[in-house]
Amino acid sequence: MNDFNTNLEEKQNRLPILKIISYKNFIFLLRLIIGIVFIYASHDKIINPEEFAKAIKNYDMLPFSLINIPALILPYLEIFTGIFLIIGKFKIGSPFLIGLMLVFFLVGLIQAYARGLDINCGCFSLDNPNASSDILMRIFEDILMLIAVILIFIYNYKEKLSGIKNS
Amino acid sequence: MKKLLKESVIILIIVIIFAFFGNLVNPKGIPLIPDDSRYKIDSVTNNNIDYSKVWNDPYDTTNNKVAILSGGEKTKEGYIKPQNINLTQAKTLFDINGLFIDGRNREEYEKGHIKGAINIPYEEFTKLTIEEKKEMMKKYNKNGVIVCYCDGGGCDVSIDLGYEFAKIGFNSVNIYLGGYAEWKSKGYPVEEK
Repeated sequence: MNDFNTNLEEKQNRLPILKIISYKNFIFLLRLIIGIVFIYASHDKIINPEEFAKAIKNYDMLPFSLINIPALILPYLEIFTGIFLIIGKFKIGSPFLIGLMLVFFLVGLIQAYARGLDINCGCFSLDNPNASSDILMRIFEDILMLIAVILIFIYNYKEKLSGIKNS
Repeated sequence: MKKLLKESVIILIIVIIFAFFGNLVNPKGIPLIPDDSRYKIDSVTNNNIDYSKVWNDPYDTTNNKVAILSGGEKTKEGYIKPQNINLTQAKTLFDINGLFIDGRNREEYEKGHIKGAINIPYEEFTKLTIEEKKEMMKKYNKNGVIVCYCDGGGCDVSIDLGYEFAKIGFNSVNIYLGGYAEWKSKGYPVEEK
């Protein structure tokens, strides 16, 4: 594997914009955005687990008796991974878990879209759990965030590897 | 790889602990296994009632005759628990002029609904104050037979709407779980655009 710093310089030479906002800062910005999105997305679900359970039920992917468990755990997973991502704790674990969640959400959204389910995604606000929301838009956002979180994961993972090498 | 696994497990443990205690202290906390009685047909046996002789006029607010199929079971909050009914029961109540209430939004209602059903979108109704809800529903007989429905197949609005009516004093609220989809598939009377 290439040395981490050489790798970075190469990247900066390839993309002039990265000279201005170094790749490190760019990754930090991504961490901040994704972290804030996840913290924001969790708050309503933590307060209203029952509404969130209904939103999960509407996806029609889990047996009814199992819907409360993700309804309780997912919001806390979102808020903690969001916080850890921003403060830089569990540097590879938190982007990994966020990525995993995004993949699950993506599968749920795509199957709901494919089956023509008319549902609220339960992504951010739960004000209106029975109204349909723009699933395609949510799929698009999910993919963008997934790309961002993969970049963060790769960056942190390489940083960790080079850290081990240097020490 | 080992590090990744370790970090993920630590995060998950933290999350599970917080989720468990967070749920305990949350006034809106939920049980781990949800209560599915909400989605089951109630075993109300009304086989011995001759429905053709049952009076029901949902708009006649002067008649206090106790309604059928109410079940009569009071919840600890003091209202009479709505009954979950099946297709046959729904058809019976339709035949005796029960008031069918479609809880879906206006567009869905206008596309097609059970014949004679009125539309009270749950999303709008639930935002009203108790007084506004009572005011809106005062033209209907509190003891008249009400049947709430939505799409069927696991939609919740009929159930939520039914409980709203029960809480403001309606004594014979029924929830037809099969909903519009089942009703229409059986070829029962509908009104379509």
